Amino acid sequence: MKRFSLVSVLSMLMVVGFAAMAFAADGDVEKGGHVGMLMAASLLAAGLAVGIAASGCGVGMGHCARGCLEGTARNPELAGKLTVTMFIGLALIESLTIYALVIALIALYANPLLPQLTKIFGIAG
Amino acid sequence: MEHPLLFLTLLLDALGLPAHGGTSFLERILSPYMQYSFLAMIICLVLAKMATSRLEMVPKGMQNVMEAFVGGLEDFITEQTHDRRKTLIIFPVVATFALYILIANYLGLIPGFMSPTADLHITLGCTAISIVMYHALGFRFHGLKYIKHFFGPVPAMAPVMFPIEIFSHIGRILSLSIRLFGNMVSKEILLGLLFMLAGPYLAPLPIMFLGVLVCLIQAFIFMMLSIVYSVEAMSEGH
Repeated sequence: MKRFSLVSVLSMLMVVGFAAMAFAADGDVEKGGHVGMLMAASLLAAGLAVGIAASGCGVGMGHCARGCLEGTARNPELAGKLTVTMFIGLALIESLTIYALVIALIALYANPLLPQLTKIFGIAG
Repeated sequence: MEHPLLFLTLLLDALGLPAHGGTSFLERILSPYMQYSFLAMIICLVLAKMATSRLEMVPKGMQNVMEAFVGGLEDFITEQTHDRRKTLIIFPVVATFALYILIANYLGLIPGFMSPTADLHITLGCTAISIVMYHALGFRFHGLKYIKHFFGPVPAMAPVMFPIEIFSHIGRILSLSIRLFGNMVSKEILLGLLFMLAGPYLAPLPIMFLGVLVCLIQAFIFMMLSIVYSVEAMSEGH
């Protein structure tokens, strides 16, 4: 578990670092550079948001299904009731990922910062 | 992501009405999600008319289906409220939510139609009704003492609890509306992506099957949370 988290943190740092390097290579403080940086950051944020949220929700849904299965194995008569409750729980957990997805979609398609930045630098569109 | 083909929009186009959204009142009321919302309402009304047009002691056909639906729902709500009087107060709103949202969700699975619930305006509207309803019920059952619900169990903790409770009630607005909207819109986007990437014939079928489940469960959850909030507001304070 520890090693896994170390690897994931390192890979994340690498991704961020490469992105920064790529933009540093662009060099000039051009007008487009900042906007491109914001676009790249939005893409990165969208991917990371959904990925991290899905991993956490996966753990949660696994716990939920395990509890339901154990309960059913102990007392098979309760299977119907437990399944219904489990589905409610699963949908409530799943909605957390959906929130992250909505945020990712906002970052990708309706980024509120992009028009401001383009206005500051006087770029059309 | 724009919908490629919508039948009602084509129909309104043929009639010469503005059907693609905009800023004026007519354009807003005829924008695509409103068209399909009206369609869902019309289906609800037609179902009610079909169920009640020829009432018989031994139900047949649509009357049978709707009696099972309404009866089962009433029993389910009574399990939560433990009080038939409270059930009858919240039943009309909550059952309407269940039927309307279910039909609205399932509209999106038919090609050429869209789910009106895949638009934040519709889900926020439903959420607004639900939120106003449960606060109104709280004030009706407790009068001004309803405010005590926000102050927590211990009077000394009240200054700390009050902001937390306020934020949790604001969070309910967001979570209730964005949950339904996000589930529906993510299903539609997934379907659209699969159509574009993997061809229109067999690839989207698993997602559509998942969509059948998600539509049912999300309608159920919206209804369930409305019931839980109302019951909490109507119950005695901590």
